[in-house]
Amino acid sequence: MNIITIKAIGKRFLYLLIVLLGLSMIIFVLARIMPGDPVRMALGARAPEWVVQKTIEENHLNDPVYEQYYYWFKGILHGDFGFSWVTRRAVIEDIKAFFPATFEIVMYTAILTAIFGILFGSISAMRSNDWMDSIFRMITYVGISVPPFIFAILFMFIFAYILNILPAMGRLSQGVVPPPSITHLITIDALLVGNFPLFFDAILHLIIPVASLTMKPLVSVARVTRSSMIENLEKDYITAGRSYGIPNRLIMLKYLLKPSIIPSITLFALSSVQLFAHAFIIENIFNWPGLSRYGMNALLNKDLNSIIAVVLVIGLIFIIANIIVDFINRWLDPRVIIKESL
Amino acid sequence: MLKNMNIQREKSKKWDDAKRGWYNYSRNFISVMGLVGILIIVFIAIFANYISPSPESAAVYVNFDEALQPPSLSHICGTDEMGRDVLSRIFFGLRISLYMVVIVLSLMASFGIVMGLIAGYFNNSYIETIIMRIADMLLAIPGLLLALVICSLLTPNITTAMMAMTVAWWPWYCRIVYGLTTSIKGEAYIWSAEVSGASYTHILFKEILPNCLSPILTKMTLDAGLIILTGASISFIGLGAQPPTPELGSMVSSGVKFLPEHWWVSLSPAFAIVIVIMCFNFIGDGIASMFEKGEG
Repeated sequence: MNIITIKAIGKRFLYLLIVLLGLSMIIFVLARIMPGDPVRMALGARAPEWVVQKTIEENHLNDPVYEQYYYWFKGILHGDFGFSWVTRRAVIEDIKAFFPATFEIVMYTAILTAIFGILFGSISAMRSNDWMDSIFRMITYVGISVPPFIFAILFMFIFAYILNILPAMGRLSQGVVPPPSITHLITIDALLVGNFPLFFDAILHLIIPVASLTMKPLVSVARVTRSSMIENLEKDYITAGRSYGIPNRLIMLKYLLKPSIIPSITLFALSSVQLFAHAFIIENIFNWPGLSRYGMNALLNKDLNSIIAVVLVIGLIFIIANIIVDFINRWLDPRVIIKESL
Repeated sequence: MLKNMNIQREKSKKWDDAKRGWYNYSRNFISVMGLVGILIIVFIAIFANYISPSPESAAVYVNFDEALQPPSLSHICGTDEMGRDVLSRIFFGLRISLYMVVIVLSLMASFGIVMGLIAGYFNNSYIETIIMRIADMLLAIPGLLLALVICSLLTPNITTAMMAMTVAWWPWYCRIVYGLTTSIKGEAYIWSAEVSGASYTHILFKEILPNCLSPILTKMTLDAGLIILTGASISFIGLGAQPPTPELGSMVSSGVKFLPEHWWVSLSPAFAIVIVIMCFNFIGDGIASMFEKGEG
């Protein structure tokens, strides 16, 4: 870690924060100028007129849009995302409550994608034009072409209804007491308190949602890994390594894989953020109490503060993912630093 | 005379290029299969009125005597809860999907290309800053999420869904064209065009654009499947096409509640979505490899 790296990453972080600010502005304005009466929708048709007026006053809804944005932005700096009209709680509380469930799905999906995507990609590259490669390519086409929500319905139909071996709905079976909240991730909490039946119950509930979300990013990561490995395989340094008599396995794992997974890592980070969008649909199907389902309800009910908060949270995750990718790529390919210092 | 011959030579060169491109494309069995599949789908979509078993199923139509019939010879994909023939609705759904692909692709590609050309040609100016920063902002959150947010804020219907997808995806085209334009801008033939007093539109569209076409075309064919996927996803949650419009995604979602006994209501449109996307991906791969071979 040297000063150039820190400087470059700091610059990038700052830039992305500005981008996020601009995004918040666009969505805020879009949300506020749309027709509709969010106060009436939240308070109900029977609410007396003075209550409606008072709520409008309190939330600055009669002020011009730029003043509203000023008040909203002031709140953000204090960690206050405003008030949700639908759940009648502070939005930040809602996000704290719903985020872990989504994070649990996305985390397992990302782990599986990284491991199996790179594994399948490299197997397929090492045996290119073999029967394993052709089978893999057929699977690739299926994985890319099937939308996650169709995988979800298909898996639900096969494993939950026909074979009846996996549960279809929710995070835990009915009547099972959730573990004490330590990390808010049920599987990890269950392990931490040593409650193994609970752990397995949570894992069983995770299998279908995670599997249906994993297919698409896994296949694309594998595809990119395969093509960049095949490309690097023709480079001179691999031939040089072979002529020195370095064992094939060592060439593959050390000299070929390391430069080849740089594009895969970038793609992996981007598709991990994409997962949050697809989780919007998957969580709705499986009745999963996560951020995306919360955001979905907000979208359907025009709950403005929650919509902006959810979008900003996902945008922030995108920024963080980008910066982590930057770090990993710098570690894998030190030439990036040299280019910047020139 | 000489000019005429030159034009002829130019024409025959183009014809040769096209022939070589088709040769490279047709080497790949899967791409040819995809092309045939899409041709069949286009045929079905155009003549849906004539070839579907019961064209009235596409609109508001109720026939409770035949509700939720399993697949049989008269209803190959069964019937839904209103007694409408699922296969006919799929045929009409294909029409909507293709319509969406054509509109969204042409809108987002043309807008993205124009923006990218302008930003790339006038780089190091405030025009570039404005366009590229807006593009960056839109790319900072997943496209599907952005499209969902836009759809929910406006009235949910197919037009909004198409507009939202365009807003979410034009930055990709803008980026590609921007990158190519900034590198092409320094070439000598652009200078000579500038010196001889060519207008901006001539330089942008006649000199620079033709050099960007192959990556754009590749990206467009690869995006066709993505558009269907996204459109179906938006409709699946109910923010796109509204019932009784026979959109494939909304058909899947309205059939989910009849699982597992009446599986055909949601699984057959799902299968149709997969087939269409797959055909488009096959073609996309074929075209991508065609350009790769052509360049190499």
